[in-house]
Amino acid sequence: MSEKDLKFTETHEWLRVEGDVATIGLSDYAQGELGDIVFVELPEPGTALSSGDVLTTVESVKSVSELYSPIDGEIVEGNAALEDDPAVINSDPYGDGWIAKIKLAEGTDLSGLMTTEQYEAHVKG
Amino acid sequence: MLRAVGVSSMDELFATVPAELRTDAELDIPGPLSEAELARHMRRLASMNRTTDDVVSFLGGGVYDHSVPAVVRHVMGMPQFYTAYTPYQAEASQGTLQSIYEFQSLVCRLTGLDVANASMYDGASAAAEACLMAVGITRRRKILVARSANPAVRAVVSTYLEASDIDIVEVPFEGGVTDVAELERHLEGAAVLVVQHPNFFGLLEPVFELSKKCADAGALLVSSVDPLSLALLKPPSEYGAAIAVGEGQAIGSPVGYGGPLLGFMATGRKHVRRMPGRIIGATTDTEGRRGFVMTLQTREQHIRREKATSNICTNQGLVALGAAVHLSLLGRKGFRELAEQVTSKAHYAADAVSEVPGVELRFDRPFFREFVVDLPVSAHKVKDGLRKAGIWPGISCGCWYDDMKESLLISVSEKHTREDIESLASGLEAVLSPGGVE
Repeated sequence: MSEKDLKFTETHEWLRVEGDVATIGLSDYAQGELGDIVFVELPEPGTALSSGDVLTTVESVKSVSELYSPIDGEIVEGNAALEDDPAVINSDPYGDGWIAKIKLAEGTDLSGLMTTEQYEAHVKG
Repeated sequence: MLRAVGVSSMDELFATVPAELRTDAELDIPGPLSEAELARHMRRLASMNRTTDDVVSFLGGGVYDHSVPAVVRHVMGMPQFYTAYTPYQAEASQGTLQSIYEFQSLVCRLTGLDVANASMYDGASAAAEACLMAVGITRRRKILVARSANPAVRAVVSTYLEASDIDIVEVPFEGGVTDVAELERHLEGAAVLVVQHPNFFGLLEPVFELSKKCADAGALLVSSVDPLSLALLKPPSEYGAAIAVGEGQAIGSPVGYGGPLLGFMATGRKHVRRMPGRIIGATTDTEGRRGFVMTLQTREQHIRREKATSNICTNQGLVALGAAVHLSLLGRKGFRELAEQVTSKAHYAADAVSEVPGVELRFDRPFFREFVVDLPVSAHKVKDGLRKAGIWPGISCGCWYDDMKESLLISVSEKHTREDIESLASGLEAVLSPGGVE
């Protein structure tokens, strides 16, 4: 589960693809900016999404952030552990803090997404 | 004042408004008055009012005339409360936040539900917001409203939803209470049923049955309750209401002319993030001292903007304070005693009035503080006749229910004496006797 295997978006989501299912979460940089996360609204399994659709919202004490789906697909599962402990996004954003799993639509093209190095440069720049 | 801002005339003050938008016509309003002249003018206007101090009033239907101790007004009148606006900063005005927190706590205790908000404009808008909340929770686009609920509340719910694609279906009543068979016909795909308990006619609704039917269909139950009734009746939490709302005017406020009113709303913990309005929470500061704070603000529009649960960002702080003070003065025992007095006087009045020839209690079901009687002539005529005797006998149901033009809704409170009730009965008898009504 190395960070190096991840793809990133400009809007601070990360993806890990295994077969035809992508696991998606919030980047370490984004969780640091948001502060303590107190609530995550999990998406319903079965919901169809297009790239750019709002996947879910993540709340800190005084702000709300939307997460966007980087791909077309269908929600397989939301991370139920976030209901009781949303702060795991802060402590383990790339591991236990995953947010949703999406089944990729056929022919999904991931080439527009950034690598870890590209994302880190994007965040610094 | 013109000099203080550095202009020489009213015209100069408005010089930045383009000339083509300004009028130079004389405004047709009277000239200025001195303080003494103004006071005299206002006193004359006020003397044209008739209040429940001048007449014997049996008006109810959502707004009730109770005795409010002077202490309530005194506390409300403290300038720190009286002149302050709704707080917007999350942690400022600890005293105000504490008083709202206490109000919320009292609403939770009365309704049996986990969380209450800081109050809303009135019971009607609270009911409308509860509908929106239910639509948000269930993602269904149809709501059911009991026709036995207060007509003004139903009208406000309609207005709120007018521009949306949400369907409103009215569930008829049978024998004065919501018809369960009719409810079942409409439950499929419904987000919510709004029922008033006790209802507009003062009757107790079959809330346990209604709740079960709703639950079976995946619809939520919103119960619009009379706060005083909660001293005697099972609270909304016990019959599975997802949201409780109601009109709090009766606790701590005068009748006014129908206002200001006080909406309250409470719900279970699982729905708290969908609840509109301000919510005050208790917390501790960095030194471990207790403090109060506006919480769960991520629901509100100053953070969520168009995705907020609601656009309401204020409350009825002063009126809520009055309610909290009144409740704390009554205490648990006093609150129950008040409710018991109101109920027994209402039942005494129902008996007295049913003795009058031609007057009949319309519904044969348990009631709380008000009841409907059928008259042999139009209720309006009877009201006109009794007004001359200094009695306002109640609300003519025909104003909202076309088939009830001879029905009168009579409401009784602890303020009514035996003599008041007897004068109502004898007044009715006089008006209904031959030659009594034109």
